[in-house]
Amino acid sequence: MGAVIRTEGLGKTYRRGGTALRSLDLELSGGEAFGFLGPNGAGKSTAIHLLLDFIRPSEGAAFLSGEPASRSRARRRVGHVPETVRLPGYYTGWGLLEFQAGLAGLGRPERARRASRMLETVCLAHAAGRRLSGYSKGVLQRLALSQALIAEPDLLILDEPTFNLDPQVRKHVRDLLLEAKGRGATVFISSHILSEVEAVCDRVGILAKEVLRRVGTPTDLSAGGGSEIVVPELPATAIEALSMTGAQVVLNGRKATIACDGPDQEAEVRRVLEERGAAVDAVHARPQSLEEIFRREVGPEAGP
Amino acid sequence: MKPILLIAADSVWWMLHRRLLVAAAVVALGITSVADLTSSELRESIFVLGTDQGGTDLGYGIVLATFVGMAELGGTLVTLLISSTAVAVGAASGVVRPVLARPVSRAELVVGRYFGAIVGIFCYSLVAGTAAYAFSVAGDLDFGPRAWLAPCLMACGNLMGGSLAVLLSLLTRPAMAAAVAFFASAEWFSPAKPLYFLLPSYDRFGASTVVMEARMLTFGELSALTLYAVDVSAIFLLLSIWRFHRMELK
Repeated sequence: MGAVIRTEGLGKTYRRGGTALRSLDLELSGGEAFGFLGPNGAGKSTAIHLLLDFIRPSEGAAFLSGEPASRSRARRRVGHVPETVRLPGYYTGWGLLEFQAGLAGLGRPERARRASRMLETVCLAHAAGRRLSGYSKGVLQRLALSQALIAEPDLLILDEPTFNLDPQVRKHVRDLLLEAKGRGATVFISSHILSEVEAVCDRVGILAKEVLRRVGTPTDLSAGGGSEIVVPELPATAIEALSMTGAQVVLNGRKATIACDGPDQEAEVRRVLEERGAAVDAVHARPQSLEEIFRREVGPEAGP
Repeated sequence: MKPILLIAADSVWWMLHRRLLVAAAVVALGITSVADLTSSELRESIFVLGTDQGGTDLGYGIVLATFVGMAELGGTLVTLLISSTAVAVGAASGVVRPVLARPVSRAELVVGRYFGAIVGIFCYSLVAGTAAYAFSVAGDLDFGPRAWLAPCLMACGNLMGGSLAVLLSLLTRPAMAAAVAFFASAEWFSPAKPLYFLLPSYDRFGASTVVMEARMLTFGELSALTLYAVDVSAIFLLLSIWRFHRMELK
């Protein structure tokens, strides 16, 4: 299957407001779930707006299913959930879904059938006849997700889809995304919730200061987390020397587990241990959580 | 074509749910009808005044022109209210984004919203025309075909003003766009008329003047005026599409 999303050096610089995204090169194949992580202002929403042609790139190009993103045809099989849901308040929930299904090209009987089914799927059947102006933020968010899913899109572009949702509904949304992925849809999800990304995505991209810093599977990314050295009997004199290396030492009686960030630190720790005559029992690759990777790439000041 | 029709229907639905707009239309029509239908004394005196000055025809003409003039003003205000907000407000608030996330081009969105606005403008003109006819029947006045000429001219004039307001609303604030569209007539710059090639000429569509002068337009004249209005509106629509295509929907 060809690339569903492809960007080539995509960038956006506003005439007045500086740069929002720099040289984004990305390729997503069909059926893949991709998580886009980054702190506020990193350029995640800008990338999504460029993909959907809400704004125009100042450099590079974006393609959806091989078509330039600037063509409306490129969005034939796309569902989108925005970060801030703004839906016309004069519609009822059912009316909006019916309208959106029509724009997606569905026939009248099919529109009605899908609208009813989607409202049930997101547990909003009870609010189907109510005006959107009376919906809460969380309910609007669920409705936005249902309008994105109504035409069973091949590509889902989601910008913080669970932002206003409580944990129970969040899990429900996650299940819906996994279901969409299960039927072969490509999912492009920008989120602050790392656990959500870990649960749904095959690959993750970390964006910081307008630049895509790292891309890979969660396993690939976590593999770069350094190593753990297990020492069965750590001499007391070694503890102070180890602290000078910056490695993290966890003691359990006399047994110690020393966490090293990289090969240099590991070599330094090994040297200290050898000098103090401490035997090394085992050395393991230390897996990193997505949060650790995120913090390392983005910096300590930026929370996810 | 299907997305355009859906968006036009959405636009009409939106207009019907805009309380200010519906209230303005109802009030404009209500005041016009009630004032004209109930103030028989005023009507009588206008008629007598006109008859004294130029005969029965002028008397009838002035009475109808008063009605048409009020309906015309109300129609213009309603038109500008509809058209200056039809595309611009949705673009500014972000409500158009879910639509543009579908396989809908920006041109289709503008044309759909524009058609929706035209439906609103024409509906108002139709209601105003029906009211004029009812007014002539109730007053036992012999206006003849002039009563139907007025809504045609009103609709054409409003089509041009509305199209200009759509374009201007994509360049400036809606209120400013409406105000500028209201005053941007080539006639303001008479006698040299340097802007005849840039601005619409509203005076030709002054329904009240045509009615008062008891001037019946021939089919050819009416067709030419309609073509002029459609031509001017099409130019403004194309410029609106071009402008919206270049806009960034932040």
